[in-house]
Amino acid sequence: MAEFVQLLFNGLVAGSIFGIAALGISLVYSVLKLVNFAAGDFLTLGAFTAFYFATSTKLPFIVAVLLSMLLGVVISLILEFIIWRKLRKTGAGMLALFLVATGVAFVLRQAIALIFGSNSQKFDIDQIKTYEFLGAQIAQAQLVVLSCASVAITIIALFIKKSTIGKNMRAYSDNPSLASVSGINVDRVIIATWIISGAFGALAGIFQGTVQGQFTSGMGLDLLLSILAAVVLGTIGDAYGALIGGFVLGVVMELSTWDALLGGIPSTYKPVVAFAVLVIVLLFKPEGIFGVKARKI
Amino acid sequence: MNNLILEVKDVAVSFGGVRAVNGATLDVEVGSVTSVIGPNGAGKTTLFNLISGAIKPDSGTILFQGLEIQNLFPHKIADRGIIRTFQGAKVIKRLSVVDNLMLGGQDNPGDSLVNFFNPKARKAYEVQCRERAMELLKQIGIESLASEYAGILSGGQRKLLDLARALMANPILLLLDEPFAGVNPALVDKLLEVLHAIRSKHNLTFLLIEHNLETVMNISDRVIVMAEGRVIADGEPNSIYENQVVIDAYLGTRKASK
Amino acid sequence: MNAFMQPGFWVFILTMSGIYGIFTLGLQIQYGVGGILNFGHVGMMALSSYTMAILIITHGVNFWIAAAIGVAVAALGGAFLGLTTLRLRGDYFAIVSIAFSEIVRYVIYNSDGLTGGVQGSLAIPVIGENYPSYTDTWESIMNRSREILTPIFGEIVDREFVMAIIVWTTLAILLLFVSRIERTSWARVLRATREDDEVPAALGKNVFRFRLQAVIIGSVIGGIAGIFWGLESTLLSPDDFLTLVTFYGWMILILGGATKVKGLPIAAIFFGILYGGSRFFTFFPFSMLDASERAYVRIMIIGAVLIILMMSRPQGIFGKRQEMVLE
Repeated sequence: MAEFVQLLFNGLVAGSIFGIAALGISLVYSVLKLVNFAAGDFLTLGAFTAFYFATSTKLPFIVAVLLSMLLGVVISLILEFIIWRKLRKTGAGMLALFLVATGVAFVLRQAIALIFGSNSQKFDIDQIKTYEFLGAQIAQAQLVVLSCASVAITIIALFIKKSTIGKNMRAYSDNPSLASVSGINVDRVIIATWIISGAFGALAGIFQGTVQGQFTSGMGLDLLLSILAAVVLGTIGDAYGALIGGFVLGVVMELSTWDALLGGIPSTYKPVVAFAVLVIVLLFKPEGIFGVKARKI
Repeated sequence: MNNLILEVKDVAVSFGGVRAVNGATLDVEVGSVTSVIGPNGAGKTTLFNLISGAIKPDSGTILFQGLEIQNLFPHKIADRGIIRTFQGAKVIKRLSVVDNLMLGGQDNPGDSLVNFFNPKARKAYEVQCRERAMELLKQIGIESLASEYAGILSGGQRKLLDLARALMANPILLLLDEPFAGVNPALVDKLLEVLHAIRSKHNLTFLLIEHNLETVMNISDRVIVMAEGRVIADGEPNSIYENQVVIDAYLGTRKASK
Repeated sequence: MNAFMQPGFWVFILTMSGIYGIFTLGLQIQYGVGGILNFGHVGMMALSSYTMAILIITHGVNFWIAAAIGVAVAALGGAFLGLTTLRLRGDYFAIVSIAFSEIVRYVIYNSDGLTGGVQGSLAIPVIGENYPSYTDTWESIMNRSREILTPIFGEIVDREFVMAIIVWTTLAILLLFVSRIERTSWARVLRATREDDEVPAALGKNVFRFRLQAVIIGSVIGGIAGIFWGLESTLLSPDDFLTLVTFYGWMILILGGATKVKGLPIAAIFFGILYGGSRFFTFFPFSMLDASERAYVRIMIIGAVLIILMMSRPQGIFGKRQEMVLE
């Protein structure tokens, strides 16, 4: 029982991170039809820049986090203006989008390694302190992440549902041509999408770095495929789906190592579970949990 | 053995809650020219998609030469001799015009990788296939464009290409989806000549969707009228012309009743 | 920049270029002809090289047979990938193909008893007391070739030289094969499917079968590249088969012009110079960087080339704009 609770909790923590990262990817896909292969590296960027801001200035950690999110937004927007905009204008196809996103990912990841070095870093957070709950050991770091992530998720969910720009985003992703002729400012929708994806990508990276203890420049990339699994599971393009898909995937990945389930999978294979979920969903229900009938956002 | 080459029995299909075809039943006789007419949204192209195998019906059966085909893959149905054209005249833009036609060649040894090691057989086929293709291009008047990318063709020329390509594929039953739309009238006459010649030579059967009622009346042995996914009238051209049910369907004053 | 004056340096570049050239050729037949977005191509290299190594080291299989089985396993990998996922739409297939090669890599990484795991081929279980090497037969072939070639070419003939010749001869033969295949009606059908699945199907072509064949042929060629890779580097590690490598191939493919083979050798050499030669560049900005930093810059440049190519010249050096598959 204790192990189950432990794994479930770990899964929720991991899932909250997946959800936040998946949200950005799903939004970008729904509005821009782009599968952002560089998203993983935005996570890494977030973790490293937060670390940098926290250690090289006297600012409190929360400020470092916000600065890091801001940087994620800025870089996303720069890329939008110098790259994505131009590609859209020239009517770039699937391959161009994939390869350019990959190119961006390469440049970003190597730049991070160049600037910050190849050593692993860690946040100055107490990794040792744990609480006990129903026999499971809950790390303080995990609690912090889960609660902050939940707050962030609630905020963004409400924002997308209630705000004008959120409604416009949904309208645009449902029917781009109709949305633009009915007066929706498409430019604002696109910029809002990148702001959310950039900020939340950084946030997910910071959370991941916190939970992982140590992180290197490959951190985000290692997670990318698993995050994509969450995106696809929750229906690509559906923001709420991404959040739910993230939690489901996180829990499934952790529970797969439970030895009550036929001995459980060795934990080094957890990513393979995510890959398997990705493949199975695309093969049997490519429209994800929420199906074609769901709203796109 | 009846002389019905195609039998569509009570076929239905829905998309996202809309019944695009709602119990359509019709027969086509060997060697005939049958036209399908009806207002927009009547389900005509969907019917073609069902016959050609592009979509599977939710219910009903389709028999071609007495055998069920509604569950077959499109390429298998084409293999059996049902060849279709497309409403938008789909041409492969990045292949040359003549290559587009040669795509229609059946039983091309070069399609099988085993024959990579038999260049003589491949070449022999390609030569005669190309001759056939050039002959067809000449008949439809675009021979000079043979080596150009098909993407440069105008809408009307694409229609011709689509049609010629279908003819290359040894059809037994030709499904033509608005074959004359956008083609200038002089060329339409020429086309009809070509089709007529081929029809008698190969005993082809034609099933076409057409909006130009004059053409329909002139060339059809039989006219089938669809509206709201059903067949509402079926008979010789003249009888259809005066059919009240049909007139109402077109004008929408009364819902078609079964 | 003295290294650039050494013939040995160029020979090494040639070998690397040749191997990546073969690798890219496997991609070319899938994408350039079939429009298939396979981002898991490196998985085929991993399958062929590791299969060969394991067969030789653990089971004492003859080199030629082991290499052939390695390539066969790569073909099977391609068949498996294609059979299970080729019916998916293009972008979904692209994503699962990455999952495929990552799963292969993960399995290699975690199967210490079979593949040596993270330690690489040096840790593959050996029969008897022998050292875990799979290149013994190959090395003796190379030696014999050296003896034959030295009287002809003189001092320059060393192991690397022989390797380069063998690799490029293979590449030339494969290029010939592929360019012939690309002139058949089989290729014509595939080119049609790049634009539209319905038209070929309506003309009786089984589109799935054609695509599957393209993936399998591409995987065989990728497998051959993997064998050479293993022989050149003499030991294997799962880190050699990151998805990164697949995208090296894509860069070469786009640079050389995806739809035709003729630009591929030059693009491969460009990549080889960048990849193998950057450690010797003495001009700015390389002069300021140490070895590991240069590795980062190298990959950054490849990323930048990808971006710039797709944004301004997606047809590459030799391609024609009209042929570019921009949907």
